Amino acid sequence: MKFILSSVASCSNRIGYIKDIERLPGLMLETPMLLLYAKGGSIPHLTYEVLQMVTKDKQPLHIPISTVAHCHEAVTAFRKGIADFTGLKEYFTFCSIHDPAVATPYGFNDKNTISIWPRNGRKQLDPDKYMDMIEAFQPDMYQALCDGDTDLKSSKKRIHKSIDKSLMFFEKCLERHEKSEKHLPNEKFRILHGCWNPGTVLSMVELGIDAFDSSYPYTVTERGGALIFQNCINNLNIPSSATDALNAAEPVTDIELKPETSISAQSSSEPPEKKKISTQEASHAEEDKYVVSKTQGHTTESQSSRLNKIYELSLLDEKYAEDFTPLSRSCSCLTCQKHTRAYIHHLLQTHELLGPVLLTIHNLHHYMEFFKSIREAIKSNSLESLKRCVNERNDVS
Amino acid sequence: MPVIGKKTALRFQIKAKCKVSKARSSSMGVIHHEVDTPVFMPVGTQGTLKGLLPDQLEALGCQIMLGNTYHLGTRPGPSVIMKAGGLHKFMNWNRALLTDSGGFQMVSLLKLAEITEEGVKFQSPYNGSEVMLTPERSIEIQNSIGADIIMQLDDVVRTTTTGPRVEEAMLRTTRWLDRCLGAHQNAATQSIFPIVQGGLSKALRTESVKQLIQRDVPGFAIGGLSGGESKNDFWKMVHLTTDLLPEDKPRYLMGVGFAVDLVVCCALGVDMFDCVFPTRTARFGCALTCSGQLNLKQKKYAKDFQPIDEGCDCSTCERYTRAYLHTIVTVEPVACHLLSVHNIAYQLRLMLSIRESIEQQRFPEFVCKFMANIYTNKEYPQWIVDALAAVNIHLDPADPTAEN
Repeated sequence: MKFILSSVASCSNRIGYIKDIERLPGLMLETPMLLLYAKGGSIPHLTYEVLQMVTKDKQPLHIPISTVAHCHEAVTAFRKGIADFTGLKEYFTFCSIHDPAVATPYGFNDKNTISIWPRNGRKQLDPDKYMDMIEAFQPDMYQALCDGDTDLKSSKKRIHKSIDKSLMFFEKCLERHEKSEKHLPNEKFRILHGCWNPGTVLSMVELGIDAFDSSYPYTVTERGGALIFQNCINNLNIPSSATDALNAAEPVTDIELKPETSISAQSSSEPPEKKKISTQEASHAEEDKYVVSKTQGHTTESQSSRLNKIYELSLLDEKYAEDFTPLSRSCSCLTCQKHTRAYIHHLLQTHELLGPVLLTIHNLHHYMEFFKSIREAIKSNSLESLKRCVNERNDVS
Repeated sequence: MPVIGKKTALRFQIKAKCKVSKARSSSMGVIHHEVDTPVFMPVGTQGTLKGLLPDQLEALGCQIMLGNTYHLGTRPGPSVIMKAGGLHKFMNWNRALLTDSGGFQMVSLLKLAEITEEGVKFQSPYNGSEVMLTPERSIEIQNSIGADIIMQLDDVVRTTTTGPRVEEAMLRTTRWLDRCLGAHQNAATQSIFPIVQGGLSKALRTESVKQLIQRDVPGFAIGGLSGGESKNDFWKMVHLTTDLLPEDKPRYLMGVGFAVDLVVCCALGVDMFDCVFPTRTARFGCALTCSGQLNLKQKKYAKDFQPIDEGCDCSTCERYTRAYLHTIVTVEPVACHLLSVHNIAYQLRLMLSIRESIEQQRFPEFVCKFMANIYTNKEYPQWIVDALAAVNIHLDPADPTAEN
């Protein structure tokens, strides 16, 4: 496959596309792109039938290895790869190591292995075990095994160790990769996994990231939220949807955070293209990531929930019990065309499965539209305007 | 010429009658949709059906589904539903709806439910206060919900109950029917079905029917027969009741839903069924097929790359293998949706086969083939043999029509 960049600057927003994927000829994926986060091989709450009601485009999928490790044996016997195994063979698949929607515990990597947490408990992977899985799953693109166990508080020693180990793991993965005669393209594709809120996504795009995953809209769904941030440039500066006032009184700029991630870039050799490895792993700033974790001592949850209120409605709130308007008047998704806030509120209150389905349909649609806006904004040099619109407070109409 | 008012909310027309058994294929027109009978109605307890969109249900060919008055009357409550414009609008389901009276759930779900002539008295599970569900209140809630067919509040007893309580309940059910009919506000758009009671007593059932048919109602439900009674008693009561009920009105057997029971009861002249079983069992990872149930949690499916059922054309079987489903059942919510779609497709396809075979005058052959598929060793349970024999369908292993 090829990754073609249309822009030249190395550390600013870039626009490009992936094409000539051997397994899926004719498919072209524009970047910055959104990979649809899949857990256990399926997009949470969406069967294939319902996915077609969200979009008929073959969006690329993000399949974290930790969520499908338990399928290894079955997929090996199946012999046709994870995409086909999960009923999504027409879709481009990317495998990462970890699940971005879940906090990964610290301190469980050792000299030769890293740890993942699949369903049945911690599992240690060395490059060979990891590549066994990759070879069984046959993703179109995957992350090389690496040690990303670093954050703001890490010591220099830990950071160096993680880089050294990652380089070592990468070499071993590359060895296996080349044995299978699949080649790497020239351009280096940058993926940044994590539950980044829209403001942070835009900051990352400005730094030259090409792909993100949809774990953020997933976590929004799981907490009963519906995304209503302005996902396109609205020149009239009027909110494009009827939304609610925030509880927080402070203006947006106080809460807007600078990105605090560090990106460790790694080089790959330059044989001709066929299959890709993404070679980037980033550590995550706590404030930017929605984390519900009992193991972490930070009280960043109140900070992040204030931040997130700019971007979403909380449908569990009693005030929606008799609100018969759609989530967003300007949204064309199935949920907004056919259902009301009151109904969704009822479904969430009664713990009915349809609640998360309707929220997922809306949240994914909204987020995919956001990415279309990002690409358009880069092409038309209006990313600043998009940033302003996205972070704007939405008032009651 | 039908009387304007009560009768226009429901039209029932028999299209074909089986010449051998009591089965019939009909068309039931209610305000929101035409319903082909015999029909299986999936149960969408709280105004939703186990994660499925109304769009998906329409794609499956579902024409009518059930909502529970007790649950909906509690959450979101009749006031919210009325403000939404009725349950159809609230859940955006534009086909037919049927609601039960709320009585059964109360008796089975709540402690301290006390039944008096006035109604059912119970303790609210939310704030412990005493609440009374009267026939009038049940109809009032059902009027707010706005389903096409609504049920009277009946005095329902366990099938294992014996003694004078059974007769008391049967007689009270008739009195409550009259109170329901009196309280009903929407006769032009909603039909009330009375419920035949009488436990396992031939005399009481007969008396119940005799009383109920004196009222001007468009259809009848047969209640009190989906509990712990023996199958032998079960079929006899159904058979007796359908013999007594008028032929030109639909008969709804409440709470019956296993495939085998559906087939037998169609032979006995029943037109409508409901059951939580197909959707409830989907939640536990079980899929329904012509040869029985598959529990996809079992390890033997880990490398089984077939669909649930080769012969099934539902969206689940089109794309998903048993092996993949094995990895997600009871873990990912999406597995429940996938199995619900399949199980409902299975039930609806079964009913379609029943209707078609009745219309093509080969219903007895269909029944024999169906039973042979389930009981591959031809060891049919006696109650099935007896029930079918009572309507002239013979499951004789030596019978050539019983061979596949």
